[in-house]
Amino acid sequence: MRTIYLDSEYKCHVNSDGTMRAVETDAFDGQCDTLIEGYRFVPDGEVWIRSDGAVFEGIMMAPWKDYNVLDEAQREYEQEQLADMRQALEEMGVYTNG
Amino acid sequence: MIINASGGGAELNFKVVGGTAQPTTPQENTIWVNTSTKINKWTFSATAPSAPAEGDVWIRTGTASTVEFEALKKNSISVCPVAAQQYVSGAWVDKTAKSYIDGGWRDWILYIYKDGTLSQISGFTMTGGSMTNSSGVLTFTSTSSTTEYMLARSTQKIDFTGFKTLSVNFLTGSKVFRASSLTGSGYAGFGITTATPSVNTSGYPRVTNYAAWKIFAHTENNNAQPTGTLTLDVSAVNSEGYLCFLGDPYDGESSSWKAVLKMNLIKLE
Repeated sequence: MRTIYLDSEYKCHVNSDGTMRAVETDAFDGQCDTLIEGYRFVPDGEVWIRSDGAVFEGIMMAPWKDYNVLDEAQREYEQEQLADMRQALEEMGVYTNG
Repeated sequence: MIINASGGGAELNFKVVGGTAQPTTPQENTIWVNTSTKINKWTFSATAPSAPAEGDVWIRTGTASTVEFEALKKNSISVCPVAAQQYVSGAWVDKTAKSYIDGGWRDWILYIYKDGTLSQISGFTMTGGSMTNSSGVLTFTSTSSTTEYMLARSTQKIDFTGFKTLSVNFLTGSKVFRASSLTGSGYAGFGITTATPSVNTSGYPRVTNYAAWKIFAHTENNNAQPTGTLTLDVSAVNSEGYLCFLGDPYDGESSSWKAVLKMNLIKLE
């Protein structure tokens, strides 16, 4: 569970600029900040209207940035996490392969 | 594939026309773009043309389409139009387009399930449930098991590139229950996962590897009874993914919960 911040278009932010609404959700647990900030989160009971007039009711999590870019960022983040974990284990004297 | 032209050609097997009135005597493979702005040039491409001019039309292409056509009269080049946009006042604007194929006008909608027929996929791989397709209704029903969820995952990935909205029309009788009284709440959702999803019965959205996800029930006291058309924005999901439906009893009651999801239409547009 973490707190994210929604702007007026339901775009997610990891920090508020003072105008955003705080929302607690576990929809993005384990996700990097770059990915989170490429998503929209529409809470329950609320409605987002896309620029072409299409209506979407919450709860909805959908990317507004190209998902391929977000996915690449998440993969890089996971690799960094894995490298950090391996280093920590080695410093503890636990040797890993791969 | 990109076709970039400023007019017709003897070798082309199609025509792109603009206007606000649907052509009354179209030729086969006529593409009508509903617009009041004069079309200067049209381009078929998976990505937006660079340096567009006022009036240029971009017909986005994908790997699947209900209006696929052969672009050339002699050699075979298949084109799958997905959506049309026109460059108006400095921005790309969505335009409705139709194709005249086999003697009739067709909308640019990709139906995954309609009138009892599945397209793009052969079916769904079920975990904790079963699928039936009868009388134009696709139904996912949970089975009595220790699995604390029902997951339906499309057997093949679907290419969502170029599409903007995933719509599912749920029918009366769809419900996710908990408790022996078979009333009360449950959790349910549907969406796109880019890899075979894992399911956890705590937290949201309770499925991993999602690219986009729609939840239509999530709280203990909220009956998950979807009816009518529910939609999911997929306009930024420019990749392939599995179409999935998930139901579970929310609080892990494995022995006395049930999920029934009934739908008669699944489409991309």
